[in-house]
Amino acid sequence: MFTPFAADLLADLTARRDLPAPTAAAVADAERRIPLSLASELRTLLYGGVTALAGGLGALLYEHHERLGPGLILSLMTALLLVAAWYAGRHRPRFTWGVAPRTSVGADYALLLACLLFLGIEGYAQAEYTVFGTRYGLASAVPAVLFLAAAYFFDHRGVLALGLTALAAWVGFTVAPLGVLTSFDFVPARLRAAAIGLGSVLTAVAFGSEWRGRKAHFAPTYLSLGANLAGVGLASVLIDGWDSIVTHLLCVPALAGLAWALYRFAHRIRSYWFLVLAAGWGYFLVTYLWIRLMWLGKELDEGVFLLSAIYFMLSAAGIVRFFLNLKKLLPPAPGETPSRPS
Amino acid sequence: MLDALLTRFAAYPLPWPRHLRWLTQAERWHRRRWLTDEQLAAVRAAYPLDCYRPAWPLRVGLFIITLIGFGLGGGFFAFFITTAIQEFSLTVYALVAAVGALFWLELGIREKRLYHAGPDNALLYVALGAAATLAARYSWVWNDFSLTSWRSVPLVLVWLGLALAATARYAERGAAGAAFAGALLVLVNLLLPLSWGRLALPLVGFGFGAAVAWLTREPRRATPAAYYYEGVRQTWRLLALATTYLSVNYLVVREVNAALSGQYVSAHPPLGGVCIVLTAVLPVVFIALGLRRPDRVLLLVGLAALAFSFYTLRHYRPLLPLSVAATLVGAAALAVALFGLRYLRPERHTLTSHPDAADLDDEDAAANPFGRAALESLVSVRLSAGLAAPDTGPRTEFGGGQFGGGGASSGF
Repeated sequence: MFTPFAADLLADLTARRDLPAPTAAAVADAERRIPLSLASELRTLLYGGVTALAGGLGALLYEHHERLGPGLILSLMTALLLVAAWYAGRHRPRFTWGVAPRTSVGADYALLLACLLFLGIEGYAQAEYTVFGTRYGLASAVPAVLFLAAAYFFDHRGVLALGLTALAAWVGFTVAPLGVLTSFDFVPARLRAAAIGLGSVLTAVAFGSEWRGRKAHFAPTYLSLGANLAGVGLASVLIDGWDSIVTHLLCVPALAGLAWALYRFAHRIRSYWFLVLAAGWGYFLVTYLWIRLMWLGKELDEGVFLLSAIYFMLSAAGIVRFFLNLKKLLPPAPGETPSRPS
Repeated sequence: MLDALLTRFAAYPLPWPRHLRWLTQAERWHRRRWLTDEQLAAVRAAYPLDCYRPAWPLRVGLFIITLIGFGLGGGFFAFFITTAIQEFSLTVYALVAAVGALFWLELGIREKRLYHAGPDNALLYVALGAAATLAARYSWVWNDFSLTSWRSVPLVLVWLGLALAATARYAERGAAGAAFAGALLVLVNLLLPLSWGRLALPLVGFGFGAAVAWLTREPRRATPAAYYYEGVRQTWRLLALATTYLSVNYLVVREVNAALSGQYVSAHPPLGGVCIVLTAVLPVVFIALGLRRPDRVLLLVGLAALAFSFYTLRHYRPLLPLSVAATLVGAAALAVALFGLRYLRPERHTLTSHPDAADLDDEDAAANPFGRAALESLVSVRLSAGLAAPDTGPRTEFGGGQFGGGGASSGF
C-alpha cells in the first residue's frame, strides 16, 4: 500500500540527503509490492472457528447426553485430545531457555485445545464417576503440574497462564477445603496467607526467570498474577487488621516492597503496564497510611475533612503528573532519543 | 485554496500531523528492516515531534481524568453562580462548560502542546455538547423535538454546523463522527415528514453512505489538508461504509420501519425484497473488493457485515438449531482459516498469511506501550511470530518474496 504520504516522506528525505535516491526508490518499489498481511484476520477467524465449533459440539453432546452415554462422550473427547496433543507434539520446537522459534500457528492452538479438553475430560469424569472423590486438591494439582510442564516444554505462555490458574486453585483448595468453608473466622486468614505466600513465590520466580534468563519472556505472566495476588492479600490484611500493630509492621513494608519490585521490573523490561501497577499499589499504600494518620486525629472533625479534601485533590493532580511524565520514568528504547526533561 | 485557509483555522500546528505520520511510517519501514538504525535516527532528528501525544492507554486515562476534573471544577464554579442568582439554570451550566472547556482546550494546545492526547479530546466533547445543548435550549423545538416535522430542521442544521466547525478546526475523530451523525439526522429529518419519505429512507441512506465512502477514498496528493484531516477521512469512510450496509440491512429496515409506523410486531416492509438481496450481496461485495484492492477497512467492514447478515437470517428464519448452526459455522470458519493460512503462504494475489514485520511489536516499547505486558496472562494466545527476524539481514534486498523476514515458519 503506497500512500501519497509515504511518497511525500521519501521525496522529502531524498531532498534532505538523509536517504540515498536508490534506497528511496527501492523502498517505494517494495512498498508498492508488499502483499497485504491477513495474519491477524485469519487467526481471529481460526480462534472464532475453534470457539464456535467447541461450543456447538459441547451443546450437541449435552443435548444428546442421554443417548450417547458418558463412556462414548469421554472416548470422543479423549480421542480429540490425543489428536491435538499429537499435532502439537509433532511441531514442538527444540527446547531452549530463550524464546523458541514458532514452528506452526496451528500447533499452538492445538496445544491450547488439548489443555482445555483435558480440563473438560477431568471435570466430566469427576462429575460422572467421581474419580477423585472429594480430593479436590488432587484434581487441581494434576492439571497444574501437567500444564506448567507443557508450558516450558512447548514454550507457550497461554498454557503457562492456565497452569498458574490451576496452581492457585490447588493452593486454595489445600488451605481451605470445601468442607471447612462454613467456619467463617478462620478460613479468610488462611486464604489471605496463602494468597500472600503464593504471590510472593510467583513474584520471586518472575524475578528469577528475568534476571537469570530462564524463559525470561514468562516473567511478565508470573509477575502479573503473583504481584496482584500478593497485593490483594496484603491489602485485605491491612484493611481488615485495622487494630493490630503487628500486621502493620509486617504488611506495610511488604506492600512497599511489592510496589518497589514492580517498579524495578517495569524499569528493566521498559513496560508501562508494570509501571502503572507499581504506581497503583504505591498509591493505595500512601492513601491507606494517610487515612490511618487522619484516624488518629478524628476528634478534629473539620480539620480532618479539609486535610483529606486537600490530599485527594493534590493526589489527583499527582496522578495526572504521573501520567504525563510516564515516558520519562523508563529508560529510552534502543534507537530512541531520550526525551527531554521539561 | 484550502491549504491557505487551513493555516488560518487549524488549531494544531500543521507539522504535527505530518511529522507524526512520517515517523510512524519510518518506524514501520525500520521494523521491516528497509531502513537502517541510522536512517531511522536521521528521520527522528529531521522531523522532531514537539507535541504531547502519549500511547493510547494513557490517552484514555487522561481523557477520563479530564472529564472528571472538569466536571468537578466547572460544576463547582457554576454552582457558585447559580447560588448567587438563586435559581438553577441550565443556561449558566452550559455556558460555563462551553466557555471554560474552549478556554482550557486552546490553552492546553498552546501551552502543553497536546495533540489528540486525551484532555483536548475530552474538552472538545464537553464544549461541543454544551454548545449543542445551548442551541437546543433556545430553539423553538426545546419541548417538542421530532424528526417527523420540518420544524426541527433548523436545530439539526445548527448541530451539524457546530460539529462541522469543530471538525474543521480540530480534525478530531469524535467530532467528525458527530458531524457524520448530524448529516444523517438532517437527511432523516428532511425525509420523514414526506409521505414517501419512509420508503425512500433506506435508499437515501445507501446513496449517502456510498457517496461519502467514494468522496473519502485515499487522497491522490499529500497536501497539508490531507495530512491534517487524515483521521477525519478515515472516520468518515468507516462510518460511510457501515451506513451503506446498515441502511439496507433487512433487519434494520424492517424493525425501524415498524418502530416508525407504530407496529408492535414488525411486518415485511415495502422494498423488503430489495433489502433481502442487498443484505446478502453487500457483504460479499465488500469482502471481494477489500481482498481485490487490497483494502483492510473494506474487508473488515465486509466481515462484520457478513456476521450481521447471518444474524439477520437467523433472526427471521432459524433454519437449524443453534448447536448445529454453531458447529457448522465453526467448522466452516476453521476450514477457511486453515486453508487461507496455507494457501496464502508466502504470497498470492498480493495477499499473505505471514504477519507483516511492520505490525510486530516485539521488544519495541515505543510501538506498543504495554510492550511485553502480561496481556497473555488472560488466556489469549498471542503468537509473537517473527521474533526470530534476522538482525543482520541484507538491507536493500527488495526482491519479490523478501519482505523483512516476518514469521519464522519454515515448519510445514
